[in-house]
Amino acid sequence: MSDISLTIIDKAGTAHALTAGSGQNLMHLMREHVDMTIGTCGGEISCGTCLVQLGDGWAGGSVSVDEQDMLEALDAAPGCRLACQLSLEPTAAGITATIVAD
Amino acid sequence: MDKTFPESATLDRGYDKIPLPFGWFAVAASEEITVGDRKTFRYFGTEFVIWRGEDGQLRAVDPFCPHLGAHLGVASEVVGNDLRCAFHHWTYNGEGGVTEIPYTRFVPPKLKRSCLPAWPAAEVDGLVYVWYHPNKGAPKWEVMALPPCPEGEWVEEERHEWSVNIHVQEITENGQDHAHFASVHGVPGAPSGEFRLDGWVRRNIVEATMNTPRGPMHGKIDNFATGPGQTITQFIDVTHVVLLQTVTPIDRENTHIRWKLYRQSNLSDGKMRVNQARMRDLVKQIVQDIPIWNAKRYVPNPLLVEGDGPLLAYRQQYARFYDFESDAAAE
Repeated sequence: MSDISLTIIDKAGTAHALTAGSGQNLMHLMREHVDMTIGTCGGEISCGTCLVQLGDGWAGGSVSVDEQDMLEALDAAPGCRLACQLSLEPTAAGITATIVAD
Repeated sequence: MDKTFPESATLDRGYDKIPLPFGWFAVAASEEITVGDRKTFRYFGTEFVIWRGEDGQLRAVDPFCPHLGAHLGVASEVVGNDLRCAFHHWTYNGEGGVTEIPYTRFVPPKLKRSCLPAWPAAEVDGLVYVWYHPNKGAPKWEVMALPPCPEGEWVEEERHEWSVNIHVQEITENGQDHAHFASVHGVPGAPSGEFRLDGWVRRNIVEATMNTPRGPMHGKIDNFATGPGQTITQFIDVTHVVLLQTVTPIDRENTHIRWKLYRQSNLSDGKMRVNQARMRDLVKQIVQDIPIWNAKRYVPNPLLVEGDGPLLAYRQQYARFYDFESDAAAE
């Protein structure tokens, strides 16, 4: 299993270079290595604390109705996703994800 | 409620091998839940919470708040038509959707739709019913209402309830057990008549000899059951008595029986006396049945002889109420 390199930018603007395996959940990865205050609901699409702005190169795959409704309720900008709904894929290699501040 | 434990309570009576059937079951009298009330009920081996909103409608949900597990029947409050959990003031509507969380920016859309399993509830003829299905399958038929009164209107004359130590299936099976009418109830002659099983409905119409103050009298008994929880029986001779019986599983070994007995309005004194005797006789009969029910065992392969009645046909139909995977719609 090849590791995927990516960059996470935290709420203070600091960049964190990480590597993770394919299939890794992005919210769990960020909570473990970058910011333990995100992912309050654990992936139930009910808190919105793991909102990320994905950089060019990877859109994160399909968006469920629950996630879409939550993105709209959060008034999220285009290109934003809930990290808890994202599993890393090889095509995500090299992307930057910015944690959106409240 | 009278509760009698059998002497054989430690013996295996076979009830842990029969599941609980799906269906509409009575769980309360309407007046037990007034506007703004919420109550916890224990039936079907579980609990659920019912409340009545300010619009007068009943709503029923699973007992535990999916947020952090508080019991929604404890210290919760009815707010408008919704129920507010005591623990963090999350508020739920009757579909189990969250309508308010006081400390977060907005109610997450997914939780707004539904996150707390709701129970279909109905209110018919002064009784509160819930639809029980172990997999939360949708209702397959509607709650049965009293038949139209042929003259005047129905008057509720008596109400009774019993908690019986037996599986719910066995109580309504008793009606198909022809031979016990003579031995247990001393009813002269075995009833004869038509017996129909159709979809979710069971109907017996028998010409029978019923005891009255003036001695045995010939009449018609029309027994109509829809699903496992509800039977309406009409006793028709010189007068017309309706018995609404509901049977509700408390668990696999205990069943709550409710009776509502109705008569026609504007009866002569003579007919009133016949009615009262009929009702007394019916109550006497179930009181004769109960000690046997409280201690009997379920026999999956009974030894039956001619004259026993259509018990196996009854069981064959009843098995439909255990078909939990089927999506068969109302028939």
